[in-house]
Amino acid sequence: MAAGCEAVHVRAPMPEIVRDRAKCLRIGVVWLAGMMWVLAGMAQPQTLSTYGTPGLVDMPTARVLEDGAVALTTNRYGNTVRNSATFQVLPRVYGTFRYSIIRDFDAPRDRFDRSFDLHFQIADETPGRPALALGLRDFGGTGVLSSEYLVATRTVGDRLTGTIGLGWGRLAQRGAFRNPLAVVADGFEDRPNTGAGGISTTGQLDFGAWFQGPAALFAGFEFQATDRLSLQLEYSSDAYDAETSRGLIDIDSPINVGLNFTYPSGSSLRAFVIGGTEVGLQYSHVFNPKRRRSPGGLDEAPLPIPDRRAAIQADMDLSDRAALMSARETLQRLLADEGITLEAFRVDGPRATVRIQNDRYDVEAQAIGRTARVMASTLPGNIDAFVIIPQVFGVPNSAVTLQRDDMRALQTDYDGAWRLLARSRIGDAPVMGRADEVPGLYPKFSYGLAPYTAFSFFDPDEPVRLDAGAELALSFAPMPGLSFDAVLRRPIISTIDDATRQSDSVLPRVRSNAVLYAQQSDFEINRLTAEYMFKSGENLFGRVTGGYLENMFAGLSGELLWYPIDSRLALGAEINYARQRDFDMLLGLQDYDVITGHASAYYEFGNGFVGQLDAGRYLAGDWGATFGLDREFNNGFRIGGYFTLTDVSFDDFGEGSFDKGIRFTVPLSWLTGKPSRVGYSQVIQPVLRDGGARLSVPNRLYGVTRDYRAQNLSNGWGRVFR
Amino acid sequence: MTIRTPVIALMLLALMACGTAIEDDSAIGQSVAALRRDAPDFVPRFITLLQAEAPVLQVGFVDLGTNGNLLLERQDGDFAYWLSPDGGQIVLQSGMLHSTRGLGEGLLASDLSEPLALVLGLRSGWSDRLHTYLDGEDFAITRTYRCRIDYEGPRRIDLLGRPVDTVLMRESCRSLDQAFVNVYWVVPSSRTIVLSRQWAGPEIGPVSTRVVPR
Repeated sequence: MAAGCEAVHVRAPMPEIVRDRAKCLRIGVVWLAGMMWVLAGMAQPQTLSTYGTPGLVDMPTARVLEDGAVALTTNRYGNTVRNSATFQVLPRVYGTFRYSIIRDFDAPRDRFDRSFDLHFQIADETPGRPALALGLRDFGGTGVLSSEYLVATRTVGDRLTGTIGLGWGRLAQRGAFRNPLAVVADGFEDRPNTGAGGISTTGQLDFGAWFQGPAALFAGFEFQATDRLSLQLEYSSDAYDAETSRGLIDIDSPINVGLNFTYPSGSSLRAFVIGGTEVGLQYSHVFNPKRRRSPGGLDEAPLPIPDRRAAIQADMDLSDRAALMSARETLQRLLADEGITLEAFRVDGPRATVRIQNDRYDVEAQAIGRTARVMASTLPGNIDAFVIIPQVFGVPNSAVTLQRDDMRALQTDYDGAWRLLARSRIGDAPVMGRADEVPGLYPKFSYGLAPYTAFSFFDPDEPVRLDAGAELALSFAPMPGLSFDAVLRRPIISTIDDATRQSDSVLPRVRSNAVLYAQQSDFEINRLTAEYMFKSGENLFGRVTGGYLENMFAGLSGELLWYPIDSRLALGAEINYARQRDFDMLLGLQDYDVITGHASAYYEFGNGFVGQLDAGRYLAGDWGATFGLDREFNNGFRIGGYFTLTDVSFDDFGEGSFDKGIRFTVPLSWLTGKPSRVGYSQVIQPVLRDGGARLSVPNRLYGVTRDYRAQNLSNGWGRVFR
Repeated sequence: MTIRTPVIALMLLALMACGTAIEDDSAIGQSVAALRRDAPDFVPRFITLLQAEAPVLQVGFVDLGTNGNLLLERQDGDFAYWLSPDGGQIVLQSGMLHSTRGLGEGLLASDLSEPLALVLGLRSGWSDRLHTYLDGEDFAITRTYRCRIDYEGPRRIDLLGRPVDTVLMRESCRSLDQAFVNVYWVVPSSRTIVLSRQWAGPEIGPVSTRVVPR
């Protein structure tokens, strides 16, 4: 990639947890700050290299982070700044995204480089053998940092760890010898010049170069002086050839040293010297999404489940209409205290059915448990079974049947949650009318005024740009499933406006005109839609949305989702007619229009991994597929990535070759310990261009329905008695 | 083993304040507000109990250095549900800590049948106890502790100015990676625990409880 890479923008951050349509809180900045602060109790200090991965100074070690951990690192030395985020995806695999700036690399311009690493630990350390790992640095980028390694690390005594490795590419710039792999095949002998392709090849996987060309040895050790302080010393096989030839760095010695101090919070400060002369400073923070601030939560205690003879309306006869209404009112009041709206109530003999909307609990099983407790505290003694049907946007989702006696008997059982799950039934909710609806429920009107932020990353002139302002969300729902929504924005600060780089795309400019939208809009209609959601049969959900669907497109969108209640698999189909909106983001439309749509498959692999495949036609009229994989922690924290390949050639796509990105969601409850359905989501795309761009329709059905399907309810079942 | 008891005078004042109007600067207000550092206003359920003059349990969080009064929301057989002013809850089974809610410790429930039989029976012996915790990902994890229970002999204690004859029972527990000691002062005639110090879990550590005579 040449330095002239253009402004790239992050998709307007659509909150993924927008269950309450009016409540689109976006307090991203505060949360990002919160992430840095949160989480005491990070375990062992872990030294991170200048690449932001477990290592010495520049060299990697065979170590990994704790499973699930995230490490954020920034450092500066000489003309180089590196910002890295590393995620321990699996116990033995971590991936890294890095944004580096090398001043004057393409003099007089700077080099801005986005790179991805992957590290596989082949074996962990045992008394008999060292830890062994294989890694790829900058495997899909421009080749500036591109290198591969095989490394072994072993603990010697209590305080010393030694590392020795074999490097290729950049890690074979000093003391290189013939590639040992050339014994296997001659092709390993020479390394293609991967950096030479410039923009046209960036973003493609450099399969051809991996482990090719000469190799070199590197080695080093780390001395853990105290629990917090450690010293690193390494013999580096990276001679900074590209930098020294440009006069950007002086390398007088193959020895690099570092001194690392780790704080109990998980932050580390480090000073290091590269090549005997270049002094650098580094800050890093490691945290694990598995740990929330308060494991048990700080929510108000639930009502104890009383003997049925001690219920509030123990002796009432619900076949009497007045008694039924009285019971409904009591339920409504007590559920409201729990942040739950009673939407319908019905009694059939010994079975009471409620339909609820959960506005508070991010763990849905907790909302089910709280509802059952209220029913047990309220309903007459002759009611034996509770049927709880959670509804989202007025659409019934699942039906959870609990026995009153089980709830009471197991509330103090040490294995109560799982024993209750075994005795419960989770089924698909039937298609239901409005017969038992609580009177006065509709029409519903809600609104919310909140700050919003939108980011643009990696513009060479200004790597982080920001829009921040006020957002007013309005929602009017005249009947279940139907709603009219508006999201209006007024930026107060905008540095996205200041961007000067224009799109050079040869495709229809469906996304790359983001800067024009920011510049030419002031007061902005972000969204103005009519939406109808429905359940059309067993396990089948539908949605029709029309209007100004997103910030750049208006149109009509229809979707169907088949999601068997107890299945890991869901299948969906969506078709849209979309027309580009005017840059002023008011009501006007431009000429460009397109029929776009996808067939989608969603699959829960277990252990928190969720995969998604969308195949179809994208906004620029290109055909292809998007592959996504997320690791979702059971507390709602989510980290993932995706890539899209379409029939647009890598050349036509431009810089980056194809669309890809990483994404994360931080639930508010993870930070505060208090239940909340609000979360902050962000997608980070290294390059935002026009190929493989998908329409951003609000409330896609998988996200709307998934929380209350059996798989997710049982994942959160540990909180049913909270 | 000594118990870090709260300031007695404050506690007496707190008791006297029970059932009267709630003011933030009242003694009970101060003592309960200290229960959790970020204590917000009282929850309505607590106010209802306060007005009904519900029984009081003095609770101290030893490691956090805070203490306060909890009110009995429901007595259900052996189980007593004690509510804190901001809606946290401690559940005691015959005086032994069974579970917590809303206190930042994920103690979901316990199986205390073996230690209860020995402690209330005033007998020494070995027992198992089971604690189920919620971890940071909301998974319920059950841990088993092997415990030695020892009869330490009679002790006369001062329970808010009133001398009470009790028997001191000590329970020393360990698992592979955790160890803790609980102590109980049991009234032999009624076989009730009137004073105790019990370990809730790794997050909040030991909790002291003291029954307030009516």
